[in-house]
Amino acid sequence: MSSSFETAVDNFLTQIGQSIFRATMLNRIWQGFMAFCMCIIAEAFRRRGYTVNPQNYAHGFLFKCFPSGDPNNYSYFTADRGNEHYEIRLSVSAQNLMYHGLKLNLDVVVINMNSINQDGIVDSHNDLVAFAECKNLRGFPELVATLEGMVYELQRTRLYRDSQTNYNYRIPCCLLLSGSGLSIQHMDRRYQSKNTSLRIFESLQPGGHAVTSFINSWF
Amino acid sequence: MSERDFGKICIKFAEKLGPAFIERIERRIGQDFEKAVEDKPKEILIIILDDINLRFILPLEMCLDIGAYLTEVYDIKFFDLALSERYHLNIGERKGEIAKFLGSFYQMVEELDLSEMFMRSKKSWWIE
Repeated sequence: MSSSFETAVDNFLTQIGQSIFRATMLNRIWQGFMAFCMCIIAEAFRRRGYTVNPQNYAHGFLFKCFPSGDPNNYSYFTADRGNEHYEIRLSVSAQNLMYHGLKLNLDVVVINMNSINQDGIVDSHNDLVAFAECKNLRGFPELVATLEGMVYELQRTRLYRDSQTNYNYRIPCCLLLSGSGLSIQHMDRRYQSKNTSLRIFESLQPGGHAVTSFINSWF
Repeated sequence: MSERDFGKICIKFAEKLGPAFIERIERRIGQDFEKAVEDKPKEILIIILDDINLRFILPLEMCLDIGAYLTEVYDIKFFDLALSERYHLNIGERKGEIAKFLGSFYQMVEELDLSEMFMRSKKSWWIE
């Protein structure tokens, strides 16, 4: 006869491979983290007095969790306060059109309203307010290098000391991690000490203090 | 629970989740899986559960959170994750299934006496 712990293990394992818990789905469910990040970003704006409204959700909210496709076929949030009118979207491509730079697909973007051009691209020089790269992983140094590389390509001067005092960069670009980021936490401290408009937030998990901390301290 | 019990459970997970999963655990521990299970079965079981927690359990928890957030704050009852242009995962219709799956994970870690490591607060981040 099985012990109670064996029964519990078997009950859990039996469900893997069944229904929505088949391998093809479980291996992609990490993309739910991008949707989660979009929601906590929307909440960060709402908490600062922006009027946040969902858009394009007639048949339910449709999160765009993959790079291709027309962004206008998916749901997003708008955030308005005074003269500020932004859109918060998932998986949008940005490019520094002034320098004809690389076109990079960003996980979550905050952009000026109606700034996606007919090619589905946002001009990072003029219209990209901030972006977040979302990794359902523990942090490791290459993720920071990738973030800095993307920022270098899109908004180079954001990497400079005191860039956060620049009105255009008042909202930091960030790396959002669901796992712990012990090995890279010192980089977040460095960004803060140099007042650079970049941040790293780790352990963003439902019910965790880190989520509230992100919402309250991002910008 | 004995060390032998922990080892047996590690093998059950490995058999169910397959070679790619074992390889990922081996990369993390920097050691052959079977040898590691022999040497330190409880530690390896915790690493296995931690990996499952990060890859599957947390994103599913996040999906439930997103559903509650959209409903409570914006009165939106349904949402889909568009994982590709043609494949949309409708979470609204799957909430019950997901909750049951998560419940069985927490029941399992409780039976294994590892609750402290994996239980989380139900506090809602959208309520001030």
